[in-house]
Amino acid sequence: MRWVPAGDRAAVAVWESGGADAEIGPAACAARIEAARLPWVVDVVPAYDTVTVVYDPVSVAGRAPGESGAPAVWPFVESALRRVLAGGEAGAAAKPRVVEVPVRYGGADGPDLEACAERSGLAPDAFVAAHASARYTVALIGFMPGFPYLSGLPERLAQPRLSAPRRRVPAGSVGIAGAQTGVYPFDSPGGWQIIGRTDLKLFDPHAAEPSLLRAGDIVRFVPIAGGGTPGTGSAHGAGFRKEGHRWGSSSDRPGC
Amino acid sequence: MGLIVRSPGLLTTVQDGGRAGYRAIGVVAGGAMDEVALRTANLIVGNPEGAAALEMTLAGAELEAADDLLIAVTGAEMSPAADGGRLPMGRPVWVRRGTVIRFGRAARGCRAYVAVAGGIDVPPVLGGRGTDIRAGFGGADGRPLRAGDTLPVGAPAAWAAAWAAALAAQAAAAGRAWAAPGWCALPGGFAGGGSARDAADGVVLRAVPFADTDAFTAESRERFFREPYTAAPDSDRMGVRLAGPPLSLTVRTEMRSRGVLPGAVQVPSGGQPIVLGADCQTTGGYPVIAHVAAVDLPLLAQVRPGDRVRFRPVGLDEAHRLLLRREANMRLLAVGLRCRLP
Repeated sequence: MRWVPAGDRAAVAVWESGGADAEIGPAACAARIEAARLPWVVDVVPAYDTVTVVYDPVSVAGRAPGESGAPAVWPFVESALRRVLAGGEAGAAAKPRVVEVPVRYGGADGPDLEACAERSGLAPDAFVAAHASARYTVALIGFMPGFPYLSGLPERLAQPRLSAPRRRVPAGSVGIAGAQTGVYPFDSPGGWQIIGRTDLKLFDPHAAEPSLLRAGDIVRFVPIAGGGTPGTGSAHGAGFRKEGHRWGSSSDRPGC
Repeated sequence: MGLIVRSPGLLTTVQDGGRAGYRAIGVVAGGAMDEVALRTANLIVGNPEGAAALEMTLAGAELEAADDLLIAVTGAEMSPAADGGRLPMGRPVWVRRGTVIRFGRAARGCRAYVAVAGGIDVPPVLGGRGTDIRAGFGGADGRPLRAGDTLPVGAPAAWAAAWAAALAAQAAAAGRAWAAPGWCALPGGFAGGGSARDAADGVVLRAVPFADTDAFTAESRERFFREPYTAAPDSDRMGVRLAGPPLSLTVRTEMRSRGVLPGAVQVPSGGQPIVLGADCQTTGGYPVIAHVAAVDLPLLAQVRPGDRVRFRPVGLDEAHRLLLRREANMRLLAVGLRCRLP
């Protein structure tokens, strides 16, 4: 793993492909940096094979030694981050949380389930069983607040993206794109194949812990009854969707 | 105290210094696109630099003071007017309750800021008062402002209250609805980038080349810093889209997503760069060719559709030096303003 600058406000830890040096993965690395509470660190973003650390160069400059009023910002950042990772005790890595996500598969809640199953050469029931029996890891949260990119999808279940994205995917929809599966926290336009839906609220900006999931968590999908008949899905969705938390209709995004 | 939106203009939102600490759960930093204009406006009315203010885009709003207010206007030139006169920018302006302030189209730049002494006092969400339009929280119920909105305003600092009292007396003596001092905090006026109409070279953005990618040929790396680009009309707070000679990529596929931040210059497969803005997603999978230096992000914020944009390479140490020099200037401005007593 090495540290590289990404512009003048971020340092990125990059794991080489193959992960030969994977003594500590991105999620654990990010947790350790967060725990160190370095006052100049603004944000720590773990992803598949990187951790991006956003820092405040002005705050760093006040701490970094330098010659004739020109503090060496990058060397300070890099060595401080290395020190934090080297100093962490082996036991410091927290055990990953396991989060169960109840899902109504198919029907109005999962309009693409049958087509996905057919592409995978499975009956819909078998497709659901395969999706729900796998153990997933949250590789990163991105795209929108609380949206988990889950790795661990059985190879056979991989799906192409929709050729034309939907204008509105309801909040809670469980989707597949390529070898990834994920859950939409908000109503949103989207191009993932939708196979089911959960009533769990994935993101609430007013909660003490706004995101249900964070990178490194283990996710299991639990099939529940009531996949729904066409027409029931939207009515139910209106029931738990919090007012004001819709996601970017086109009218919300004027140019410039 | 309050400010009434009579007409919102093209896109007016509540923005502040942005959110920190929530990118790991997908929450964008957001905040004012032109950080310097926001901070300057706030300093002029005695607020903390990151206090919430209004950000107007290309065509300004029509506002009404619901109480006597001390305001400051910075950023793009939108010809603010009130009570039959032109409102000066870059200085504190006292406006009497009931006064209507009209902004026109931006003659220069893209985004103008209106700060009010006491700050726009909407409830903070995730450590920020700024509007996250896509996620639908912050600001006014997570949406752009619309006609009829009344924005709460906090209590002004003592320095601002003293100026408000002095200017109120000045306005009363002159029989006007507003008054402003003769000095200006921004001697240069408009602090943003030039436009295609007044500078042959357009806006020049200094950028730190991103070394950690093999997605670009040596030729496209060289071309990126040589060719002029034109800002596309579908640019927004998420990113400024550029049109120009396409950059060739050595890889066709997207990379694995990783954290990205404002200023990153992403190059999708079509080869037309996108410079990420304040509302950019927290993660992205497109190859990044360079990052615009933080010191030049306010210039990016003022790029208008149709403007010419060029990039000039800058080293990491130099980028940091430029930013530290700007911060030293901001501190001087803050101290200088506080020394000015009515």
